[in-house]
Amino acid sequence: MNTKNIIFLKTGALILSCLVANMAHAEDWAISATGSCEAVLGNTVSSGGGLKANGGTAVVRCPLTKEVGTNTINNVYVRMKRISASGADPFCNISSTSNYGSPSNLSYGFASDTTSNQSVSITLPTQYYAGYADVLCVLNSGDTMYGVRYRQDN
Amino acid sequence: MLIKNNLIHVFLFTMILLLSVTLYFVYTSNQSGHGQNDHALSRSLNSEKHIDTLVMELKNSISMLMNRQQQLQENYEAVQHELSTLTYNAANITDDLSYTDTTSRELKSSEQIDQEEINFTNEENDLVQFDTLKDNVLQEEYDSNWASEMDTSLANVEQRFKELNIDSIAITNKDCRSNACLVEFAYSGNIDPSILNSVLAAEGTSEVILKHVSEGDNNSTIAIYKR
Repeated sequence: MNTKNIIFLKTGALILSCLVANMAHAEDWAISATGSCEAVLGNTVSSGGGLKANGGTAVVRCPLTKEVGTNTINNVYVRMKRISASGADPFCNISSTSNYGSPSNLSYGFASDTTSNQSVSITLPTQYYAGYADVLCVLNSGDTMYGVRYRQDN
Repeated sequence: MLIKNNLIHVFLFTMILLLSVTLYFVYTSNQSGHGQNDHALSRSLNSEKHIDTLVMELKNSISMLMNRQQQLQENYEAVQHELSTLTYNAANITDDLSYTDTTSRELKSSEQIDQEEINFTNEENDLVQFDTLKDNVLQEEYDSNWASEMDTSLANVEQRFKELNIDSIAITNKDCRSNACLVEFAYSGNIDPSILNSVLAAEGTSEVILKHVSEGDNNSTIAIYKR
């Protein structure tokens, strides 16, 4: 094998590796609850680096600042801690609404583990109605939400 | 006596001669006068002919001028007509331009209307899609077991409403089939639909599709819970 062939093969391998690297590229980002989320119903307090529902059920909204379209997000996880096994399971959802206000779509995941820190995986919607979708969590009193992680395969 | 006769003869001869000469001169002068008159007449006739010629030429010229004037008049009228036509066309073009301008505005409006229609169509599509999904759910068989599970889940949803002080909402209809559950929530007052959406999750399901119906102060939400 002469030198030219070796150079040619090396160049091909380099290009192939770049292509594979690009194909495997994925975006993975997270937002903290204390920095990006706010209570839209009920009350929350900052606690241990997260937002804790205080004095009752609270609904916390975390605006999704990235455009959502079909297959643009592959996984959404919410890191939270549930303090009590009693009552309904806390849950988080992705909500998207038609530009015309209706219909809308809500997909969600429940925090089924009782008292441990856990990562709630939100079921991805079978249909997004429009542009931006927020993540909202309904927390029982004392439950704490730490942040949201998004993963997007390209 | 002879001398006297001779003298008389001479006298007579001289007189006759004088008369002849006179007559000759008179004749000659008459002849000469006739030539001059003829010449003058000829000249006059020539002049008359010339004048006639001039008159004819003048008439021709006048006729030509009249013809020319006629042509100019016709040309003027033609130009006038052309000008009026051009003015008319210009007015039409101006009208057309203004019409085009108006039309373009109208077209823009039409585009906006079309866009609105497209939007409406999209909205309609979304709603038709929802209604189709709802009809499909109603064709499924009733699932009593899942209906029982959903009773518990929906009771938790209602409990959640109370915990969040959304008291004006109530479940007014519930129909659970094999793969989905149709639930109707009725509420009055001003509740943010996005917040309402966020609290509608029911355990045992992973997704709910919602349609809001508003009639005055009375609102309802039809929810299709997917199993």
